[in-house]
Amino acid sequence: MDKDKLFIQSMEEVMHNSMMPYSEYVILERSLPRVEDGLKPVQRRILFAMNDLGITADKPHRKCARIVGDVLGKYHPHGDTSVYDALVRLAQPFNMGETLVDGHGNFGSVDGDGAAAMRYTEARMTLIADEILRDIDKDTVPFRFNFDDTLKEPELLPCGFPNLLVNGATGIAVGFATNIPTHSLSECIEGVVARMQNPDITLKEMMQHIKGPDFPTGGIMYVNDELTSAYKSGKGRVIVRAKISTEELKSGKTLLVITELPYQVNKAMLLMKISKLQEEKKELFTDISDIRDESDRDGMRAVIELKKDANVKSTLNALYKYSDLQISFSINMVVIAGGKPCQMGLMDIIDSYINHRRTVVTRRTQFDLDKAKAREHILSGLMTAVNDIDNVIAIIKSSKTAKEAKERLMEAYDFSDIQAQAVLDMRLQRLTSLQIDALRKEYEEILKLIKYLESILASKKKLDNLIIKELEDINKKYGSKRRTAIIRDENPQLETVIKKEEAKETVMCVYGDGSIKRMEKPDEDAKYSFKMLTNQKLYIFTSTGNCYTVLPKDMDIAKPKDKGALLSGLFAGVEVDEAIIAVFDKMEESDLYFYTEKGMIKRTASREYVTVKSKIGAIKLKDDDRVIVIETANDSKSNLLITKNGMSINFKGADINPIGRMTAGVKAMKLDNGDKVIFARQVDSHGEVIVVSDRGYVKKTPVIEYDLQGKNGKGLKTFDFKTNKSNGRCLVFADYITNSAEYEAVQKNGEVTKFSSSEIVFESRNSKGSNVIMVIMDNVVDSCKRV
Amino acid sequence: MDNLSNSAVLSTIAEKAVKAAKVREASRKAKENARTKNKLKGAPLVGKLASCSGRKAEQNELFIVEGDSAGGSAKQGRDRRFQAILPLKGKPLNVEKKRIDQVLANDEFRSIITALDTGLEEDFNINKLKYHKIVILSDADQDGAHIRAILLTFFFRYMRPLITGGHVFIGMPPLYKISSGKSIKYAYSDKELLEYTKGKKNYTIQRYKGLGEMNPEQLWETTLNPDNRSLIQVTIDDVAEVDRMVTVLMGDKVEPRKEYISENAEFNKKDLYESIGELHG
Repeated sequence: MDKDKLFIQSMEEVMHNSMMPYSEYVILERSLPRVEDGLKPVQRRILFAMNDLGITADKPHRKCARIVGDVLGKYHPHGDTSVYDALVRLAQPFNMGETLVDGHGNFGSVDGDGAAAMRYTEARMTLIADEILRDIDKDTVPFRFNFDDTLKEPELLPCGFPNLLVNGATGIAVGFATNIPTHSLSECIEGVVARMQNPDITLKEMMQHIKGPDFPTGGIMYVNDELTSAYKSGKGRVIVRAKISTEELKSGKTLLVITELPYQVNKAMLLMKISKLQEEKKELFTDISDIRDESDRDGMRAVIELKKDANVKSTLNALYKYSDLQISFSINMVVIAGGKPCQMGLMDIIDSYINHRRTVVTRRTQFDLDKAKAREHILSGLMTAVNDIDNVIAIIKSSKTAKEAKERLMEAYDFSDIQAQAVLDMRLQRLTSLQIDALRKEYEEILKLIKYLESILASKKKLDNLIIKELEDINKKYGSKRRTAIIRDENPQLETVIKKEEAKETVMCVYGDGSIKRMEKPDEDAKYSFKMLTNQKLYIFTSTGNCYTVLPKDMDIAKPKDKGALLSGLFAGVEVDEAIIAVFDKMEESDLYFYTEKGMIKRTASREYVTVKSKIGAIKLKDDDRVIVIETANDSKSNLLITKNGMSINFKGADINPIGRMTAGVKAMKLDNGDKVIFARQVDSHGEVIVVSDRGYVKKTPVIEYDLQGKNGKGLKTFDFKTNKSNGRCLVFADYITNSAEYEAVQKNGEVTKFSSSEIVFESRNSKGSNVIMVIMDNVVDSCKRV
Repeated sequence: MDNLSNSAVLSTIAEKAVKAAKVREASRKAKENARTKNKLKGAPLVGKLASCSGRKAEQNELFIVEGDSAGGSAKQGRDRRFQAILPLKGKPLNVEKKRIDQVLANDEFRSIITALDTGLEEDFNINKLKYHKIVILSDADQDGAHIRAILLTFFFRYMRPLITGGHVFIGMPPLYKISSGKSIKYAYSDKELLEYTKGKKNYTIQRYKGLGEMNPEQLWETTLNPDNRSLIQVTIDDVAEVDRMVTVLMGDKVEPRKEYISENAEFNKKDLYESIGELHG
């Protein structure tokens, strides 16, 4: 089977043999522009193919798919997207110094939107693109075979203006990359002319003409010696900022209005980045209240709205520092020159362009001269014949064949073959006196033209003057003002103004009705009242298992009679029956216990609740379950739970392992059907437990009677309901006290009974209680609380 | 640690070690992932790999083909008894610039790994190899050369015994078709083209740029058929030298590559085809 012709090659050889042609190809034929016309091969092919198709600026647009198809089939054997992307870029006014393609349809935007598919869009060349191709058919540039050797394509375009500088270039090849900024057409032409008129011009003098890059997107550029050195070596950078103006609103707010962006900054991404910064670097961007894009058909207008009394300067500086409102544009002028990649300074680029133009114009002149000479040759023959027309006619008449006539004419007048043929081809109407005059005139003119063309070829000075004149014509026709403003800045370091809001002391109060207030002084009526700093978070846990965080500085200071803010007013998605269970002013290095109505207990480290978000889940709850108590764990205590049906359990919590935030926890107690936990708390070994039944029976028992058990048992009875239920059907309230306390019980009909713990008789754990609250008929005790 | 004069060096080394450990850990996980996922998926190659019917690994050949368009004609042109075809979509990842977990996340490399069934790096087991000839078949243009380099880099970094064991080959599609009258000849190099055309007059030359240009039967005849085809067997003589070459040409450092290219590139090569007339005088 092994009949293969086998060659053996070592891997390093194969790698070399594979990567070198690829690198050479990508460098020369894909990613880098030629210094002469500033075009990459795909761009050159697009322009040449469009010219071929005759889609010039004075013709209607044609489908892009048609153009792409032509480029692919004739010159560029690669993917269609690479061609279409290149075509689109040539048409984008925010990428090109001067667009070379006039696009019709959606050709993308500064927001990074792509162009429509090529079956939708149409295109034609722009007027100025014509200047790049002008004289292409006059043998001005070398041609070579295309990929399948059936057609010829230009290696270069004649390029009537310095396109490399005007349109810049970006590209990444293998080992080499390029980033050439765009420039002003007028400045570049002035620069080229200045160099031609004064070959000794210095870079500094040149920069009087070409003052720096000029981006189509405008903006403000900060220029210093770094630019000079970039122009000298071909590598360096410039700082470019967006153009931002401020507007004052009647409300006292300030708007930062962005009307121009730095080159190649994506507006949508920029605004997104700023809004992200607002989150990440709150202290710097605290003054920003809104960001919106108001751009429309009148142009770009992105607005950053600042709060009242905002520090405009420091916000702007922070924006320049952290967002793309200021960019550092890296200049890396790598081009293909002399058949290889090289990094070039401004002067070398200009010189290369001038040389190119000299070649092109010389070749064009030679082409025109050859043509004129050929015409002169014919005309001189005709003139001779016309001057001796009678004899010419006699010779023709006496000849047998055209061939004989031609030969005799050639002999008689010393004509060349071409001249004799022209005489034979001459129509008789040429012999009218007017026509003879015209012939004479044409002959004189052609002689003049030849003289002129020869003089150009003979004199470098004349050639240069012609090139200069053509450049100046283009400048007159297409030239415009520079778009990027230049600020001379020796030291573009940013003054870093970092503004930090001073944290102030304040009071946060949470009330029994669930309202929250920021106050100047602590309020005795509040359920929770914390003295805290304005930048310190308040953690609010709710019955549905959420944790909300509130920053005091985000709330206005309320007066004592003001109504507080409800959770549902501060946060979205708060449920109707979501009650505040616990509030903490800090999350310390301790654990939290969560107890639920259905007898679950969960222990979680406090630090799990430290978050940047304003709402997070605190516990995973089963359906219908709710959190009833949250407290800080203390391992010297035990956990006591009391249920509605009068059961209780007391266990050591130390063996409950802390678990993650969004978990359900473990079972603390087995409950009968319909039973629920009404009380849960960590207790010491001293103190008393008070329970209240719905019929107003109350008892007090030393906590020591609640024996410690394992968790997740049914527990012990803590109330003995009589079979006739005269002392109650269920418990409504339980409490644990170490000192005496006052209570207030409310019955269904609204009757309020106050009692003190000291009035209540001690009874054993499993006893029937004694009547403390008068409950008559079918009234029941609804609720009870410590006051 | 503070009172040691070289504490800065020490902490740099420690940091480096920690980093390396993290990368090792990530790659171990990724490898495990790739393995278990492949097991779970059962036949992830269905629709991708056109496998061969023969069961003898020593005789089987796997052609890794550039692009679906060429993959199609290779599938039609092959001998299905011992030739399997795996078409790649576009350019594969350059593994030299990626971490192993990124490589393993790449669909193209996963199909290659699954198709060969040998495992990677230290888990590599040559006895499990399903195809004893692995033939890289890419277009005869510069992008094809790039793909070849990328695939070789992958084999070198992750399945080196394949190369040292002589299992990796490079397919050689013809560069030119020379037809004169009824006779058709294929030239696999510029030299061959010169030999065939020497002294002849009435001939036409077609230049092949991509595998997709050929009909299935032409592809069989010229590139797949063991009786006619030419192959390059890739060998490693000097591992250190190959390693250096791969690092320079494919690695993430630009400077050495730039230097290498500047030293070795021949930017003014002449296209032999265009000048063939001149050469014959």
